[in-house]
Formats: sequence, structure tokens, C-alpha cells
Amino acid sequence: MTIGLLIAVTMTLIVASTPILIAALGELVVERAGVLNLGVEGMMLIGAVTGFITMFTTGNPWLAVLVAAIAGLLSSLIFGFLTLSLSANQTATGLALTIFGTGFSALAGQSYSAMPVSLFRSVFPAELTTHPYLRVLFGYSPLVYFSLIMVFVVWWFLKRTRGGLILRAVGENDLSAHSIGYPVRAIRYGAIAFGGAMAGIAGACFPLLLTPSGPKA
Amino acid sequence: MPFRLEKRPAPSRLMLYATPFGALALTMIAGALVFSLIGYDGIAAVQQIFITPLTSTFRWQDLAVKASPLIIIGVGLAVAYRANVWNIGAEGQYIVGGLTGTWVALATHGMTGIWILPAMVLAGMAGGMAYAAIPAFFKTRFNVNEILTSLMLTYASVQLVYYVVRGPWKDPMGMGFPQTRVFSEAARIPNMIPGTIVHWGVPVALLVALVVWFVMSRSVFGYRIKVVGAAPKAARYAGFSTNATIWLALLVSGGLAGLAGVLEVAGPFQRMVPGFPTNYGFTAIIVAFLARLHPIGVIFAAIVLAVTFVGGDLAQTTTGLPSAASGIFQAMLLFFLLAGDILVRYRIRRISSQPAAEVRAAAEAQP
Repeated sequence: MTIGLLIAVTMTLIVASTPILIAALGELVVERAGVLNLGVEGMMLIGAVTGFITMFTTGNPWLAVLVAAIAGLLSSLIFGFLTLSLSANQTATGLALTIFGTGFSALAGQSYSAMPVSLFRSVFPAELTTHPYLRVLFGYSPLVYFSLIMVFVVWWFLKRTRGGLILRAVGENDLSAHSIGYPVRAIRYGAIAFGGAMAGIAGACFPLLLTPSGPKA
Repeated sequence: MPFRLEKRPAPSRLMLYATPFGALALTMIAGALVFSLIGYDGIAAVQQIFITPLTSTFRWQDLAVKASPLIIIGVGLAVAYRANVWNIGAEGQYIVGGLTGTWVALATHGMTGIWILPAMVLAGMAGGMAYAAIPAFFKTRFNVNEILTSLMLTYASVQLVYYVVRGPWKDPMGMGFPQTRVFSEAARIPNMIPGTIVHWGVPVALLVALVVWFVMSRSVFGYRIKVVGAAPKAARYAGFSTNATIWLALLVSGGLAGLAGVLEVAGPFQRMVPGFPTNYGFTAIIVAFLARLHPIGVIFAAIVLAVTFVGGDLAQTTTGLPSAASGIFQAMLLFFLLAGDILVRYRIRRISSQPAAEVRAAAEAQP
């Protein structure tokens, strides 16, 4: 029984940490590229509401995650355009994005208030997902495995690839990176877009992974 | 592309003060378009949010009451941002100021005396300063980014409100509602004009803006803040301590946010409730930017943002537009303003079709 409790607690912790992990991985890459995007909250809300609406209308969780990622990416490009192309203040632009996302999600989601969607469940066979012990390994939504895989993908990209090295160089010293001939602005656009897509997916975790008992989206 | 951007030799003062108006106009146009596209009456929505709040004396009272915390916080933030200190946690300092003020009000509950309100105001300012001292300490001691610490402390302060109104400060007669008891008469800010909702926090806000404007433009303190922000190296040569300026910037902005908090809890609220955090601290950041970090400009920028708050409520009741719409308008305003910033530092030049040929012709004409 204690083992059962331990497994239940472990699983709850892992699921609850998934959206934060995904959003943080995205923002980590953005900050490594030398950009601070305070709009993560807004992008997550945009991802949450678009993911929810897609799930509600199509019932396809994969599509919902994809739409949320695209919505997060597009909203991050507002930030990218203002801060990179128009060199606006990053702190204020990120804040504006958060305010925008809060307003957008409330507006877009108001006609869906209190509507239920089904969760994005595990794709493994039921013998594994409901097994009293093995469910600690197999009983999760694909989003959870995605978050864990992305930890290694982001680590590998930043530490083991040439692209990651260039991205870190841009973040450490943009002037030097520029004078060597690296396209600083394009690399930062890429990082911001990645961060936006990850924030969108993280937002989609709230309707697809955590409701109804989890924190409100 | 027929146009290109050319760096100006010096920032344009005209553009600096013209872009806020341009951003406001663009927000109204874009807002009308966007809300029409998603199926609302866009023009009516813009009218409700930006025009209707200006049309009756009762709404002016509402504007004044909503603008005053924005002015007080915005002025403090304008000082901090001038020093290049990015205090994003004014909301948290506002909340803690409200909480420390509440503490004095509850501790003196049932007492009378004209010293109670001043004591609350001092407690509120001290609370805001203390909360802003945390990012200041970490910034000056360990070079921790003040943007992140001040922002995250806001979330902690919101939880603190939820805790005290459900726990130690819960009204024993409140039928289980999570709120404190109503402050006694001596701990409430009286109305300035009987029969209105305008309280003494409104003139205080105007006074704060004037005093800060005077200090920033006429004193060594203000000069030092500006130099440290604009030219940190020159400031170091002049012997201005960067760390002392960081402390000052955060204490001033935190203290003023705390003042706004205590005026708000003792004025319109008259008790601490879970709904006390109303994002004034975040909206004030837009105010400070819209005002170009000028204390007098903050008064006008705060009124503009207060208009969107009052208008958002109006639009909700009349056109069915959700109150979240005012958030979208505020965000668009800030987006357009920040985008317009580029016109301050750059000018748009038309590229003529054969500049190289002309240069060559001119060179050949020379003997």
C-alpha cells in the first residue's frame, strides 16, 4: 500500500511538473541566445486556449498540441519582430505579450467556459498503464515523455552540436558573434520561435494533462 | 525596398513625444478592425472603451480613483527605469504595502485618533520598500537579475494575501468569507468631496507626481539617477555609486508602490480581500513607458490607462465585450508604442533609384 501511495505521488509530481518543464526548456534556449522573453505566461495562455479549442472541436489531442505549438510560435514572433527587428525594450515587450495573452485567452475562451474535454491519455496498452507498478513508467500522456525527451534534445543541441555552440556564442557575446559573421538576428529569431512553440505546448498541457484536478489554466 | 532606416545623430525629441499619441491612434484603429473581424461591433467597442468614460462627471470620478494608484506606482517606476533598474515587481510591492497598512488598521481596530492613517501610510511605504529591498539586496550583493526576482516575488505576495485573509486576519464575524473585517472609521481614507467616490488618495497622487518631477529635474539626486541610467561609465567616473543608485531606485519605486497599496486598501477597499491584487502594478509599467518616464507625463498616461479600465467595464455591460478586451487594448497600446520607439532613434529615408550613379556623376563633374 505504501508503495502504491509512493507511485501515485511520483506520478502526480511528474505530471504536474510537465508544463513547467516544457516551458522552461524553451525559455532556456531563448536565454542562452541572449534574449529574455517575459511573455512566456502569455504564450502559454495562448497555447492553452488554442489547444483547448482544437481539442474541443476535433477531439484529436495530437492536432491540439500542434495547433498550440503553432499559436505559441506565432505569438513569440510578435516579440521577436519588436525586439529584434525594431530593437524595442525586451522587458516591456515581454510584459506586453503576457498582457496580450491573458486578454486573448479570456476573449477566445469565453464561449467555451466550463466545457469539458477528454485528456491526452497514454498510448501504451491498458495492461501496462493500469498495472499497479509498471504504470509509474508507462502510465503517462505522450506529453510527459515529450518533455523528458526534450531535456536530452536541448542538452544535446546546446552542448554537442555546432548549432548549439553558435547559439551560445550569440548569447555570450553578440558583437563578437556578429563580427565572425554569424547571423545573430536570425539565430535569435530561431531561438525565440522555439521558445514560443514550447510555451504553446506547455500551455496545452493544462487542458490536456492537468484538468480537472490540476491548476486552472 | 524603397525605404530604409537611417540612424539619427541624436534621438528625436519630436518623435519621443509624438509616438505615444501615434500609438494610441493606431491602437484604436487596429482595435476596431480586430474586434470587427472576430464578430463584435469594433467601432462601438473602441468608442465604449476610449470615449464613453470621458463623457460624464460620475465617470470622471471613477477615472480619478483608478488613475491615482497608477500615477503613484508609475512615477516610482519612471524613476527606477531612468536609472536602468528594471523593477517589474511593483504589483508585489503594492500588495505588501496594502498588507502592512492592513496590519496597522487591524492592530488599531476600534481605536480613534488622527495618527492612525499616517501610521498606516508609513507602514505601507515601509512594506513596499522592504519588499523591494529583497531584489536590491540580491542585485547589489550577488548581481542577481532584478527583473526576475522582483517579478517572482509578486506571485509570493499574492499567496500571502490569500493566506492572511483565510487564516490569521480572517474576519471573525465574516460568515466564513475570506476577508478581513472592515477597517474602523479612523483607518479609512475619507472622501474629499461629499457625495462622490473621490478620496484623498487622488490629490496625494498628483502631489507625488509633482514632487518627483521637481526632484528628478532640479536635484542632484535626480541628476545622479539619470546619469547612472544613461551613462553608467560616466557615472562611475563622477563618483556616483552604482549600487547606491540601485538601492535608491528600488526603494523609491517600492515605497511608492507600497503607498499606492495602502491608499487603495484604506480608500476604495476598506478591508483586505483576495481580490486586492488588481494588476495596478503591471499596468503602471505600461503607464511609465507611455509617459516616456516623465513624472508629469505619468499623470496623463495613467488617465489613458484608467480610461481603458473604466471603458472595459462599460463595454462589458453594453456591448457584451468581455472585460479581457481592455487587456488586449492595453497590450496593443504597448506593442505600438514600443514599435514606434524605432522612429525616435532612426528616421525613414526613401532610397532613390540610382544613388551610386549620381555620386559618380558628381565626382566626374569635379575637376
